[in-house]
Amino acid sequence: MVITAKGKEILEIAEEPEYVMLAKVEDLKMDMLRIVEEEEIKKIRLKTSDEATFEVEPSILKEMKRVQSLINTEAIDTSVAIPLPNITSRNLSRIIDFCWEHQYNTENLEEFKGRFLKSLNHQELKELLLAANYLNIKTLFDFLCNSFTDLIQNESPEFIRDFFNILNDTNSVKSMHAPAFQGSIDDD
Amino acid sequence: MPTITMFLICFLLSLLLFLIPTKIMKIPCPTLTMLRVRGKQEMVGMEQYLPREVLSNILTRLPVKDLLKCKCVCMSWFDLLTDPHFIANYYAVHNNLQSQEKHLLVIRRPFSSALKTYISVLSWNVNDPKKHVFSYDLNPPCEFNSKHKYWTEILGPCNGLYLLEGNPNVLMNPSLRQFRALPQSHVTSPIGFYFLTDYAGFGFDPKTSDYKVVVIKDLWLKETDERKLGYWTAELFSLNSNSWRKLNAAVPFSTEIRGSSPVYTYVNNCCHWWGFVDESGRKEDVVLAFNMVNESFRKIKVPSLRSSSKDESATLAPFNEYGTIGVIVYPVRGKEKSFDVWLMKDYWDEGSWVKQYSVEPVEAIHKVVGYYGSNQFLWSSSNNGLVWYDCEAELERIKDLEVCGTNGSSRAARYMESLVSLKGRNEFSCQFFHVARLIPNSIDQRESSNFPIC
Repeated sequence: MVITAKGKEILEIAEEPEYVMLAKVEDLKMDMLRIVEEEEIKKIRLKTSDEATFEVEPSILKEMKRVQSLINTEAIDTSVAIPLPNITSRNLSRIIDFCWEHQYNTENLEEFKGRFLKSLNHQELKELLLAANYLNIKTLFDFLCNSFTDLIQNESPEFIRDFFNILNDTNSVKSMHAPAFQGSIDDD
Repeated sequence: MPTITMFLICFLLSLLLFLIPTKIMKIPCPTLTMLRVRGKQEMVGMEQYLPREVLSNILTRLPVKDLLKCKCVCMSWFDLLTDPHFIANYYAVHNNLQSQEKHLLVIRRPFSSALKTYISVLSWNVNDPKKHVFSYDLNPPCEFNSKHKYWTEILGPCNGLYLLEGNPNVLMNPSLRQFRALPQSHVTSPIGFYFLTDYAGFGFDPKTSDYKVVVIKDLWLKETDERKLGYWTAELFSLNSNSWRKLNAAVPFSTEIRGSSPVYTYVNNCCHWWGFVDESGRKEDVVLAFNMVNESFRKIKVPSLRSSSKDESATLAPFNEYGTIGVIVYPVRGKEKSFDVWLMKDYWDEGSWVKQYSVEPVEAIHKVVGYYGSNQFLWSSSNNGLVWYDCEAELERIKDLEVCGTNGSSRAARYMESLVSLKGRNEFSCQFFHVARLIPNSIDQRESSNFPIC
């Protein structure tokens, strides 16, 4: 493959002064990106934690910065499916849906986002947020973070605890470090 | 009989043999189950709790009033929200999340008969087709409601803190609703003299992580009530020590200060005043700078930017993302005003002053009263209203904010949400604001948003 050939070039120029090398490596990286972009026909396969394999278009793949960097830097053999052990097939299909709509649905994007959010319960929302964080998809991550913010804004600490399923450990600690914590309580 | 006893003994022995191992086994058993339970808890925790950086990203999007509630959720949230890194990152990121939303802190005296100063926050969205300006008042603690308490300038935002210059000088964090009067200074005037006018500067010293206020006082001779020209006494307040001390650094000789700037000009750890030096009868404009880190004064020469101080006003302002200082020059009189913007290309080079741009005559602007950010200024109009003017905007360059302050009392600065607390640095108490819905407005009836106290 072309990528491995370029990889050899990197090895060959390793003896040059550092600044020259850095510049050349940058050039090579750009070359590689271009090559990856040119290989439009070639879909990349991703394997989820429950052993399902997805064929993903390069345009969608571009959103997944983590997978993209795997392909770019490690010269991974793209004929083998890339394993994603943290992501279930259900979440990956949701993610692909979102990325697709975000790219191609310019007219009813807000409407789609509303429907997308409605279809998720709190637990699924959390899982998806972690998946978006893991795959480093900025659009989805920002969208989900904003959704979380909307859901907990103007709510009481009790509601937030329930929402995130958090145990209240403030009382026990408060008695231990009363002066340090008091300030924050009366801020409220 | 012996067989029976033998049998019994054997039975007992076997029982013992059976019991002992189980007894021995029983000791580690509880710890094992404990471990298992703990392991399970950890696993559940991993599933349920979001990683700190993800949580931090979500919480950065919330306003301060919600974050105060979030502090009580659990200890790990409390730790995150009081982490200095989070606080610094929150200030930098949160306030730039929605650039189409504008928030202003405004002080003004709406009634010419009283000194009472109103402190309010105005908000609007640039894309709002109805062009509403929402507002709420921040009421200082009641002991500041006397006739003789008032404020004339806003110095800030500095990491979300503001100094209100007036009687008394106060520090506040409006988003945390903290309001704190500076202690009385103990610096006394030399025998035979008294202090009359104060000029304050406010800033953050990154070297000592301290907020400092510098005050320059002029000297008047008691006997003749004459000012001793060119003589100044300076003192410095440090928030960490909550005390004043006299500054030994001398103000450059013969520099006069024209007044406190309506625009907060804190650049490269230096605060600035617009002044002049008397060069054999000719008054030449200069900028006086005070470095909060070195605690030293510096005189910055200014080329001749204006014909005379009678005909043209000059206001100092920060430029290039607080990288350097500049001056806005505009005519004192006239209904329409054009203005020139001069700036120092290189802050450390006195010779680098250039005229950056000129703005064609604009109606309804009268006097610069505040700065929002890159070329966005607040002006007072000739009928004492507050006007927003953005030189770079394509559509709505000018916006009437529909508030008014008598006798040129309006001042405005960008309002920024911040978790930087005035409390906790030492034991001194600091009072809180009450937030009120009302705004008694002498010129209009506006919508004011209900801002609940959390």
